Amino acid sequence: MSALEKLKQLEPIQFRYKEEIDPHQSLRAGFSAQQVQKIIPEAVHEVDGVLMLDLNVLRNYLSLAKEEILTKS
Amino acid sequence: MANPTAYELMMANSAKEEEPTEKTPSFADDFGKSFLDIYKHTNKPWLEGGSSSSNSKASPFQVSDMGGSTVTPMGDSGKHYLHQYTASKPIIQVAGAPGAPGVGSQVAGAAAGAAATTAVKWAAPKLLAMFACDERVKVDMAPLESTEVNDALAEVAFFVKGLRECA
Repeated sequence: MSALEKLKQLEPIQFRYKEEIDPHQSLRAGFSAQQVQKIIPEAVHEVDGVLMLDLNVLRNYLSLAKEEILTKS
Repeated sequence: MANPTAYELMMANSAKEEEPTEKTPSFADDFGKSFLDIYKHTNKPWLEGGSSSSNSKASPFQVSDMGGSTVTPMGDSGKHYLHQYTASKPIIQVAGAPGAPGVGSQVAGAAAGAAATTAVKWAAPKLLAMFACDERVKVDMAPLESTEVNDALAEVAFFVKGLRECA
């Protein structure tokens, strides 16, 4: 599966962190690590029992997808 | 040294947002401000609006830091236009000499400044790109529509949303 196809399977979400993490409860944009883990496992790492998303990996995928789009167009 | 906790990584991310490094290209540098910016440097005069001599309807309006919008004709029929709006960037002037400590460091004092600097230096650059995306630390999850925090993660999320809808 190509990088573009994988990225298109990701489901961007809006969310708020729990109050103990973000007392302001700001609305944020991101992804579910559990969902990303199923599609791009190398982009998710567990730190202190919490799943963290590695943005560097996602950016690499975006670069590949960009090349793919430009090649097709 | 012990591994950083997820909370510490998030705090390091916050510190990075306040003091961006000049060497690292931003997300916008690599991918533009929206999904459509991917096509900006392609050989498509109908998207670039004006590079072709045959395109006499090129937009006279250009986006700058002051904000504004571009209206670019699409296709040859002249029936369709691409309208892109860019909000103005706030202009903040801070008195001080080049290379001098920023206002934040001056106001917060040496102790707070040192603590923040230590946190940033301590976390490797790779770790700074880590965001807590675990469903167990989140509430009110829903398909992406809007955000109140425009961080690096939000940029990627909206970019992927554009990919899903257009590519």
